[in-house]
Amino acid sequence: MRTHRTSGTIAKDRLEHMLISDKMHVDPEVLAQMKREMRSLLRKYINAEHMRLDVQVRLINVTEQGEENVKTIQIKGL
Amino acid sequence: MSEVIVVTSGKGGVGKTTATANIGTGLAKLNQKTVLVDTDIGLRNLDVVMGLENRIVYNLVDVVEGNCRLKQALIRDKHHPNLYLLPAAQTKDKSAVTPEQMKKLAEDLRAHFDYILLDCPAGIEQGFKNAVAGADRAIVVTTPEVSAIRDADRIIGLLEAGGMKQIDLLINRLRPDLIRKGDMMSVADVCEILALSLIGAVPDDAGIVVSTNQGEPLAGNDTPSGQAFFNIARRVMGESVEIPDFSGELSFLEKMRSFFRKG
Repeated sequence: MRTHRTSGTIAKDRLEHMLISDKMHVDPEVLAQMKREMRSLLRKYINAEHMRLDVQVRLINVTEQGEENVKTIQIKGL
Repeated sequence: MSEVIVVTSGKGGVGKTTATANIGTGLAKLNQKTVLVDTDIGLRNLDVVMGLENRIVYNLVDVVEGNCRLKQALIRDKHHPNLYLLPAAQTKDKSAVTPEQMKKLAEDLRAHFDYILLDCPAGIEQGFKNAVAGADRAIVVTTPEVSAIRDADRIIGLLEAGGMKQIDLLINRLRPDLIRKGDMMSVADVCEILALSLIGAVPDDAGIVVSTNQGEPLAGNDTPSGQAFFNIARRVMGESVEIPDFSGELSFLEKMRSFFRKG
């Protein structure tokens, strides 16, 4: 029932998309495609008709010394 | 125990210098011996915002190069006897000092002051690296705009990677009227995106323009931004002061408008 999206909401959505794209080093267009695929994949198996799906991705960079550098990325509203 | 705080943002024009001047003035009003350091070498402005541009004799580069003693370069504020400014050089560029020299300068200032506020230049290059080198904590200034928040996120990443112990967020130039209409991201929206502890929210206010014109910071006077900046100074000192979110109650007219928009 979202007939009118305010410009503030549009700004927030664009920004979140941009920051995820920066952090994952994935082009914004590719990220959009990835989100669509994740959405259809999840909704294929999960009966989530009236649910909002948020996905948390942890990118864990393990160096040779065994140190872990973890980047956590939230993908909301799939 | 003194604290060295860098005021930074990534993007230019979001209010770093204004915030530095006003938080510093607030701290001085709270009886803290405070020095403001303009690290924007080549593009100095903090002196103008403070109204001290005619009193500069020596600058930061003179101190670092040993052309003068630290005390000779410090300018005392017009109204607050415990507030000082160390101006930037106007004729040099960022490569005139190194991060090591900035660390040494910050250490030297610790001996004389409770709070040392460093006004960081825009960007993520040499000037930024110099400014953050000697700091214990950082205040990241942003406005509720896509470009400023994106840059703030980048800066926060760099500060965290550099091991900055405490990073707080200051949201500047909030417009309650636009937030109410949904045409500006709210304080909550910005905090959610940047996931940082909030140290203050400052409304957009004609008072700031007037204050900058006159060269007199307004922290502590009874304008909305004057109050907001004074409260930030209190929070910097560890006091817990409530932060208003500036989205407020809708006026009757706005309620009617939003009612019809939903329909």
